[in-house]
Amino acid sequence: MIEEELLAPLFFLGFDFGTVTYQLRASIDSAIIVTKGGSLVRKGFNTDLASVIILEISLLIVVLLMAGHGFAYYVQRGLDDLVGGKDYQVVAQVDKQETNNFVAALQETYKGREGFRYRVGKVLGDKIHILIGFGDQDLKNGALDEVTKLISPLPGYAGLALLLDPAVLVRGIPSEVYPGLIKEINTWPETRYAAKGPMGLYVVAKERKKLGTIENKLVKVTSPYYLWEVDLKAKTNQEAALIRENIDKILQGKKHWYLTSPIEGVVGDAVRLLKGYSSKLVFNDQIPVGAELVLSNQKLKIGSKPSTQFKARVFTDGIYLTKGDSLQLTGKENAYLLDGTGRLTKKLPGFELESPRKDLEIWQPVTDISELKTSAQELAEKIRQGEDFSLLLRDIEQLAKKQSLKVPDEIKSKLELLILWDRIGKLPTNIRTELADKILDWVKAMPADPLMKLKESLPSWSDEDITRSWRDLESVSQEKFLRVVTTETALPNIEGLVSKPAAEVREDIKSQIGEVVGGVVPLAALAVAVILFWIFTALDHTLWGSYLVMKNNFFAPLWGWLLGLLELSAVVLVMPYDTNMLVKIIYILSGAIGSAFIITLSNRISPINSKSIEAGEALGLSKAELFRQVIVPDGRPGLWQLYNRGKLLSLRRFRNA
Amino acid sequence: MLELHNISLERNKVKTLSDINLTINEGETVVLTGPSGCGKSTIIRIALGLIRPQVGEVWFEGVNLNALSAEQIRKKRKKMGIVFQEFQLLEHFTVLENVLLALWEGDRKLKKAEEALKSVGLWEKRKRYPRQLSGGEKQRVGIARALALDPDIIFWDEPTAALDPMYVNEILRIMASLAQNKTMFVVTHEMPFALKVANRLVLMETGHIVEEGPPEKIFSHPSSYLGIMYRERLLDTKEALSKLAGEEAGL
Repeated sequence: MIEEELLAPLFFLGFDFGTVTYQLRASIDSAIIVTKGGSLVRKGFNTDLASVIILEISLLIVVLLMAGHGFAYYVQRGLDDLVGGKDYQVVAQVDKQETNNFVAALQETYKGREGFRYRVGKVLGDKIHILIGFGDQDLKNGALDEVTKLISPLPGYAGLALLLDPAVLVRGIPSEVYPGLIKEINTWPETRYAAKGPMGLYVVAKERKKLGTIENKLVKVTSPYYLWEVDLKAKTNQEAALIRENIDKILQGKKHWYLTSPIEGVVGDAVRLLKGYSSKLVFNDQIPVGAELVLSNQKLKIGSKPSTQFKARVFTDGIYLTKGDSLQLTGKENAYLLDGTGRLTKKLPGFELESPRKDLEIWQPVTDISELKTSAQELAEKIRQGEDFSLLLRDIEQLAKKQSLKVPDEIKSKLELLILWDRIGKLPTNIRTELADKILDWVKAMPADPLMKLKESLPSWSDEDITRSWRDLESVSQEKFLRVVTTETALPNIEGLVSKPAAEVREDIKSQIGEVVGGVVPLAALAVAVILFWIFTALDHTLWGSYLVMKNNFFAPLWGWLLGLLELSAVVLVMPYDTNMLVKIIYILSGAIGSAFIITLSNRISPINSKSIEAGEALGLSKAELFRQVIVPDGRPGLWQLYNRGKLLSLRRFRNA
Repeated sequence: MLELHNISLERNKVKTLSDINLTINEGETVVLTGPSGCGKSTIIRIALGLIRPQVGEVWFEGVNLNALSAEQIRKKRKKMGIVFQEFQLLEHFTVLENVLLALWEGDRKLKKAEEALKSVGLWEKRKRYPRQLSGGEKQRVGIARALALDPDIIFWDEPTAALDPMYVNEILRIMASLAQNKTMFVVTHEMPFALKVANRLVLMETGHIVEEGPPEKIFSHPSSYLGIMYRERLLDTKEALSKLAGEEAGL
């Protein structure tokens, strides 16, 4: 009997050591026991126990699914309004008052496109989020590539960001090679679709767990592309040009793509920068710094809130146009001062434009690039100090616009994503530092150009003006690096030239957010399942634990531990959520250890009436019936008691009843 | 019918029983008595196969219980009945269900339970729960539960010890009546009952049998200190009864 009690937990697992012991000891007439033993689940007590365990596992799975789905729903619902669910790939920021116009224009733009959908999301500040989704075929055909072009002219448009989940983003590869890559990537079984987007090549996976495979394949498929990089910080423009010439010679006839701006582009940027000076307005009156002005060809009513073509703002070093194209400004417009609410408070006397186009004789390039540098440094400082990103984005756009430049897509998109992220969770501090550094890099890497090309672009300028302006430009335009992407593997002998893989392969930011949600859900659901399992243990299995303890069987904690391993492993095995193996093992082990601890306290949780058990045993009840008739009905209400109700002694099952 | 040979038991390094030899023949009523904690109840549990002794053998109806498996002992136990000192009824079952529990794994004849309950006069209260019964009634349910199996031997483990005096005679009368037809092994301190009903009286002290024989012989010529003590007690009772009888005659 002692052996049977001691090894009883192992019966359930199929190790009928008790039977073996009896077999050795018992006489031939006890053979009936041997024939009963050895099976995985013996009829009687073990059947009951197995049934309760299966019932518990089933309930644990149901609860895990409910908890997981509930948690996923509540977490995802909040995020979906900001970053779109799985069905949306683009989030467009739109001026709130223009929502209806934007939506109408959007519907018109994408009319007849299969799979096109949109949803009006959250309002943040004076902007509303419109979530836009496309059909898979449309995505494969380049819907993401053209989305900026199609959406940006729509009324109220204030920016957009791609939000793909689960997706890998490939950057650093020339867009000319995208078509070939996309064709190949779309044949991979893990890929839902691959498409060109504003920030690079996006590869969306069919399942999150395939992202790793896709990343590995992308690294392999992009491995023929190398980035040659030369540090130009200590070199003059002439030296830089020489290096470029050398590289051109080496790569002549071979595939290569410069990542630095082409000469024509630099000239264009320089011209735009110079034209930007024309937006400086000169008033005779003193106007306080920070004040806003409107300029209009028409006479406006004081106190009204007009919507005008031109706006200007008083900065410390002068008054500059902040809205409208300076090239269309004549200098004959009426100027009005605005109050803080946007109403006209006062009509100002006439102003003059400082413009090289209009009067080169009086123009002096006083607004040199140092202002841009100072502003950029201030902006970077603001970012570091943790100011609202959405305001900063507008600041930086305004700053760029003042110089007739465009904020690089990389910085703009990153800012837009970070604005979203900042509202969802706490932003890591180093992100702000990185962003601030990027802005400074951008300013330092502003356009450079040979002097002669500039002179050709500005035929009306004197040589003296050109030289003076060029000096300003050169001071900020010197590039820090020369970068070229090539398939050439042999590294030429150029001082300072380094070669590295061109492709930057990483998970997209929305995908990372999705991973956080997808990662938290199974953890929360598993935690609920483990806690529920402990409740089951306390209610059901402490009856069994108390019985073992009463029989001086100190294997009770081992039983609890095995039970935890069995039930939680079964739950983890069938659960649909993806989480890493280590986490699963931690949950299973901690659940099992908790269960062992609870079973150790069996006698305190479910004290057993030894006298009732003795009575049952004295009446010749089997262990199964002892549990069914005595221990379980006498214990705490739980699943076992529920299951046992059908097995309780019943008058109906007696003859002549 | 029941033989205990050289039984010794040690628990927590304390010798509970030492070299116990006892035989109960069919139809016999054997009364076992002794001071509290001397091992009387343990002998019943060993006889029932609920405890295995470290040394010695228990033979019941010609079978050595020590050589049987737990399952086989369990089946043998169906031929033994026991009445406990503290009734040991299951509170979640009614009176009838408590009795039926004995028959649950057997032939499941309600008639047997009915007969058993009627024999102790509790059939009318069969639907009540133990908490609704007096101490005497609870013990009668315990007796009915033991009788339901129609056992070959009934063990009584101090059946009147937990009862109010008013219920003691009621139980002793039932026991005396059953002794006519059943083999009984009774642990009790009721010496008048032993004198009146028992075929043999066994005196036990600190795990040893110190004296054994017909009760008349032990009470008239005790050979142990314990026998003398029980004789004195019985005589005191007799003296008290005589005094009471004299006073009643005087009245």
